Amino acid sequence: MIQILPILQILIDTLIRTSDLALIALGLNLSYGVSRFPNVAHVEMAPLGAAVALAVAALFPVGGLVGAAIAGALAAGLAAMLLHRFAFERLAGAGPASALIGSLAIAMMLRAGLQAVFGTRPQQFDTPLIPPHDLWGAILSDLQIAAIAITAVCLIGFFAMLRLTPLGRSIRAIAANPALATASGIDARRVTLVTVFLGGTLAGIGGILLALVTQLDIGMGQMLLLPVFAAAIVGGLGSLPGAVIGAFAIALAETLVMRIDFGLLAADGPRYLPLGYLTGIGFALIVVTLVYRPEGLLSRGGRRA
Amino acid sequence: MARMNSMTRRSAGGALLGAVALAMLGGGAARAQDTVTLGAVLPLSGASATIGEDQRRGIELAVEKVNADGGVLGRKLAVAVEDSGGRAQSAIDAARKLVSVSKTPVVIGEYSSGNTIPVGQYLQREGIVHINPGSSSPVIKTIGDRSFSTIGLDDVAGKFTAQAVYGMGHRKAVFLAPNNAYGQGVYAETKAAFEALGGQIVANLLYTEGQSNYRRELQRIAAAKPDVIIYSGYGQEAATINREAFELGLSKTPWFGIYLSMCTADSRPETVEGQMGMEVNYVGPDGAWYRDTYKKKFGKEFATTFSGYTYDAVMMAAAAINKAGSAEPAKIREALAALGDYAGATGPIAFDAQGQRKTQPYIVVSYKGGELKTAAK
Repeated sequence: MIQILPILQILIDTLIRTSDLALIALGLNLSYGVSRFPNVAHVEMAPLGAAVALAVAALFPVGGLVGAAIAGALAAGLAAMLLHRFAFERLAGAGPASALIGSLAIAMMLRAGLQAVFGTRPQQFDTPLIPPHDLWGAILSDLQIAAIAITAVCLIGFFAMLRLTPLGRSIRAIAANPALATASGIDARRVTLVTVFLGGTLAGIGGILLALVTQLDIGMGQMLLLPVFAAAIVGGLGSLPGAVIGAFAIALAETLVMRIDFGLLAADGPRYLPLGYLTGIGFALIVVTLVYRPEGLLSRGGRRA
Repeated sequence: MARMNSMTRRSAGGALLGAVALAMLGGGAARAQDTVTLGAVLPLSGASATIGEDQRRGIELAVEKVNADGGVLGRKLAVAVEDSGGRAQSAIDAARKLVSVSKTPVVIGEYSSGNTIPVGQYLQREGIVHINPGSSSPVIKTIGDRSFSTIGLDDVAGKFTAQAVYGMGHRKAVFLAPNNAYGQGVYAETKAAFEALGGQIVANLLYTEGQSNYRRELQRIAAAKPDVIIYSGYGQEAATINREAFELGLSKTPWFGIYLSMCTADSRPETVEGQMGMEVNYVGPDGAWYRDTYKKKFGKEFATTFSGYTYDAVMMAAAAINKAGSAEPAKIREALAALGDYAGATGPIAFDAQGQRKTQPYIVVSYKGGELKTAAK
């Protein structure tokens, strides 16, 4: 079958990239909804969760991979909550710009701390090497299938929690209108801490899945910063479904642009955009969004989620 | 004095602190008179950490040998090793520390051409002798008259690679290498030679170093459907590339690694089984002693092919210092340039007019059963 555009491979690549970004972007928008400032340190929860999971898998093999992953995710959530309680609560009072700069500083400290503890070498989970599946020319490995599936399950579970549980209602209330929520008897501070904990846990899970499929690079947070923020902004900062849609949009844009064969115009063999420009695509999407629809695709979904 | 007021107390404290500091600095200088200290900048962390550690071992063995043979100028030899972190900026900082604080007349380093070249240029400006034990970009020829190399550069390596690949019957190749001075240089040399023979390099993927996955690069390679994938990559990056190539089903295509020991240093054996490649012929006719000493001290065969070159660098520097009768950089430079044929552990080393190693033999190797083996060809 002659394919001008290998549709199946593009779909698979987009799904893989979406699952890379979705959970972390969701965590970002979740934290933004309650703390009201874009938290740059949030993306560092991903390598933190993965690093703790790796350490637990190596030191306490009792729980296996699943136990290590749970430990890593909880550690990331805990770290996010502690950071919020002891650093960001104070910083947020000074205004979102100061809080953003403060979170940048904290992100740098976290990165340096991770390097000091875990070293600079990339590390890998001890997973077996399995040859991939070949679906009509599209290549997909077991780990990638697992990552996409786990991401989907986490997303469904999260949105179910948001809709159906009292905690979910409280979170939506705080995100929509903190003053009114407090007046109706919701303990804003406690719910905020729980929300931040959830956001950190989501980022931790995202990081662990990324590390499972590729590897744990201590620079993971830095590499995720632009695409995750792009996903959050394109989907609408603060909008929870928007984070997922935004992640999909970024993933699709990256996959498609990298497959455009400019050689068809010049007719002298395949010519592609150099892969070094990959992060530029997320950046370009941010610029387009801010120019044409600054509130993002699903603006302020926090109100109606 | 019945009572010091706070001003006097402060200046007394300041004077005491100053005296202690001077004593510490002065004491250091006095101690340094008994040893001649050379410097080395190596990638002890980062993607090439495995190779950097092996390079450090070569230095360790050379220092022991030199001191066992009487040292330099009647004094002990020491080599101060600084970590470059595998990045150009930290490599230059390390070189700066060696030059301004440790006052070394010679600095050996680094491993990656992208780091060796800026370090060499810095040392050239400072008047310090530079010896390159691991990088192969032809740009190294242009560093200056104070820069020497104990390892051969890529103009010969590229030709050798092209001939080996063409000789295996491959005509359509893709090229995968880091996007730095080394990758660009070896690509240019290999492409020129391969196309002169009648082959074709249909895709050139010079990848950005330090990514966590190379899936997109590998997909482009798969789309080009080549006969052979000519590649080169630093230890840990190559490990990621090889693993992802395996997971993408690309291992079935023949792979040819330039400096195969570097490419496979950190890779999981199943992902590189059956790869062919080229390597520097790292054990010269006078190298048996070095090989045995290495094995005795470290308990295993060579971890990579690169420890011999730092060993030879230190040995030649020591020989030059003894010949010049001085540890002045300018005199060491002259002595090195006039050293003539030196029987190194990696083979006979003679510097050409630009300070580069005149002849560098290469061999075709393959990765079978978990280790590098010399191929019959």
